Amino acid sequence: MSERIAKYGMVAPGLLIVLGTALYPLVTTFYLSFRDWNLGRANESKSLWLPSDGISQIGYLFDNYTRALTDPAMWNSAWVTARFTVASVVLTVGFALAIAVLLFRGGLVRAVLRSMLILPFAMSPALIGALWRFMANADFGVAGAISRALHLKDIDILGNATAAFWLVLSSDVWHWTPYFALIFIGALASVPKESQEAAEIDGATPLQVFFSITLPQLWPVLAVAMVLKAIFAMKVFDQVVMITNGGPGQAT
Amino acid sequence: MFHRIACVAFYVAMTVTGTATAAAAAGETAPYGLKAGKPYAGQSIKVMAVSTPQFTALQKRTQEFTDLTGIEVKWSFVPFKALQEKVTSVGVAANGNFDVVNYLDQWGASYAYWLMPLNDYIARDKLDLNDYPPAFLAALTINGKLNGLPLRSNVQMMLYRKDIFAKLGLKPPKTWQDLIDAGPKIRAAYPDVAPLGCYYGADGNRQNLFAWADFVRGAGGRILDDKGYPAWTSPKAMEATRAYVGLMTKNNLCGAGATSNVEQDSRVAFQQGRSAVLPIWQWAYSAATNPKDSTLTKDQVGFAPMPAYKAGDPPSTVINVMPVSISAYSKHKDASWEFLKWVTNSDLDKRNAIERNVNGFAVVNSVVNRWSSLSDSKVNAANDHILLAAKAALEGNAAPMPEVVYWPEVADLASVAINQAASGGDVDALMNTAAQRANHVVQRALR
Repeated sequence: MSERIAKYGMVAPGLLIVLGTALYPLVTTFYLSFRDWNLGRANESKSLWLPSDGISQIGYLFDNYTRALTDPAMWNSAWVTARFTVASVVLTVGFALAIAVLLFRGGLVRAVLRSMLILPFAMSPALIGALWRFMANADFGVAGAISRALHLKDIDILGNATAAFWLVLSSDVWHWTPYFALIFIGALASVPKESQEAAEIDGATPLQVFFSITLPQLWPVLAVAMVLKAIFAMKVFDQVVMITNGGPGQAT
Repeated sequence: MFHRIACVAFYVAMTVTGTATAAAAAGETAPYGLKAGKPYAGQSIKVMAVSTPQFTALQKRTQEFTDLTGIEVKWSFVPFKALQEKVTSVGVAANGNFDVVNYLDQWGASYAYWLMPLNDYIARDKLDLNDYPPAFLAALTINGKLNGLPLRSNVQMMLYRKDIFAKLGLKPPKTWQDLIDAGPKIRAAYPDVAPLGCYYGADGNRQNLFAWADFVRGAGGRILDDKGYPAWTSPKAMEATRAYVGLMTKNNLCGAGATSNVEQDSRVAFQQGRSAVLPIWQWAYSAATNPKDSTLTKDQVGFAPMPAYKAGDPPSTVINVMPVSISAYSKHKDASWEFLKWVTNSDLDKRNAIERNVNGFAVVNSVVNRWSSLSDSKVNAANDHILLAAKAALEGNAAPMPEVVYWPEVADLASVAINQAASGGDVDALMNTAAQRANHVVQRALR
C-alpha cells in the first residue's frame, strides 16, 4: 500500500505541472470561447448570454464560433494553410530525400556538406523571414537588383499573390529541408547493405535498387517525417509574418 | 558694525527661508508648474515608453527632475513593434506595475478605461494647453476627457529630392496633380527613380491608410461618420480612394515594390535614391539625411507640407501623437503628474530638439510638441527649419486618425482592401466589401 502511495506521490508533481500548464489553459480557453472579452474595453470577460436575454437568445453564447465560421478571412486562412501544408510536405521531404541520397556515402566533401547543411535549420525563423523579405524587395533587394541588371520588367514578388505564396513556401522548404535530410541520412545508414547488393548482383539498375529495395525500407521514417512536417507547416507563423504579413491582401 | 551687518544678514536669510517655506507650505509652484517643497520626495515611478533617441535623451536628463522633486524615475523602453502589446498588458495586469505609459494615439481609445483623465489636474494646476496644436490634443481626447499630454508628436511631411527637382526645373508639388504632372519627366530623366515612394503594403500597422486619409479628407469625405460607422463609400471618399490607388495603377508614379512596401521599406528605398518624393512623418528627415542611414545628403533632400487634394486647398495632413498618460492603477498618481508636467514642459521640448549631446549621449531629434517650439528660431536652426513646414501643415487641414476603440479592426479591413486594390483589384468592390464587414465590427462593438 505504502509502495503504491509512494508511486503516486512521485508521479503527482509531474501530473500537477502538466495539469497546470496544459489542461488549465485548455479548459480556461474553452470557457472563454463562450464569453466576450475585448482587452480594449475591460480587463475582465463577461458572458455572451445573460439570463435576462431570455432562453430564446441562448444562441448568443456561440457568437464567437458563429463569427469565426462565417468570417471569409478565416476560411481563406484555412485554404491557404492547407495548400501551404501539402506543398511544403511534398517539397521538403522530396528535396531532403534527394539530398540524403547524394550525401549519404562517405568522403570528406560530403562530410563537410553534411555539417553545413544544418546552418539554415539553425537560424531563427524570424531572422529567416527578415532576410527573405529584404532579398525579395523590388526596390532595394536582390530581386530588384537582378531584374534591373537584366533589364527585366519590374517584378514585385512580395506584391504578387502567387509569387508571394511561393516565396514563403520556398523559405519554409529551405529552412526545414536540411533537418529532414539529416534524418534521412541516418535512415539510409540503417538500410541493410545485403539486400541492395543482392539486387545489384541480380542486375538491378541503381534506380531500380533505390525504388524497389531502399525506398520501401524507408517508408516508416518517411511517414513520420511527413506527419512531423505537416504539423510544422500548419503552425508556421514567424516567417509568414516577417516576409509578407499575410499579404498581398490575404494571399498568404 | 560687523555685528549689525551680521544681524541684518541673519534677518534677511530668515525672511527668505521663511518665505520659501511658507510658499512651499502654501503649495506654490516651482519651475514648470511643479509643486514646491518636494512633497513626493522618495517616491519612485516607472515609465514605459517607445524606444527612440528622443526619449533616451529625456531619460538622460531625468536627474534634473529628481533634483527638483525628489522623485525617482525608472524608464523602460520598448521597440515600437512590441509597444501595443506591452502597454495593453499594463492595463490588463491592472496592478500599477507601470505608472506612466507612452503609446500611439490610435490605441488610446482602447486604453481609456484604465488611463486617468488629466482634466482635473490640468484645471487645478492651471496648465496652459493653448501652446499645443489642437490636432495633437484632439488625438488624446476620448469622450471629452484628455487622457495624456503630447510627448512625441509627428506631422506628415513630403520629403523630396531637391537635386532632381532643381535639375528638371520642377517646384515641390503643392497638389497631388502637380506630382502626377511631374511623374513622366522624372521617369524620363531618371529611369531607376520612382517619382513617388508609395507604400500600399498591409502589414498590420495600417501605414497605407495615412495618405489615403489625406485624400479622403482632402476631397471632403470622411472615414467614419458621426455614429462611428464606415463612411468611406460616399461618392467623394470613393473618388478620393480611386485617385489614391490610381497613383500606382493609373499614374505610374510608384516604385516596383509599392504594393508590398510598408513605410519603412519606402523610407529605405528613398534613402537609397530609389524615389524622388516620399510622404512620411517629419522625424524621417533626420534619418534621410543621416550619413549612417542614407546615401543622400542635406543638399539633396528637401521637405514641404503634404500636397493638397485640390489646387487652392490647404494641405491635408494626418498627425500622430505618442503621449504620456498616467495609469489609473498607479499608486503614485500625484508623483506621476509631477513627472508629466516636467517632461512636457516648453523649455525641455525645445532643448531636446536643439542640444545634440545630452550627458555624453549623442542625439539627433527634431520632434517637438508645442506651437512655441515649432516656431522657435533656435529649434528650427538646429533642424534645418523643418518645423516651420510642420507648423504650416498643422495650420492646414490636420487631424489624427479616428480615435475609437474598434479602429484597429476596422482599419485592418480598409488597409487590406487598399492593398488588394493597389495590386489590381476593383477599388469600388473592395472598399464596399470592406465597409460591409466593418459595419459588422462597429455593430458588434456598439452592441
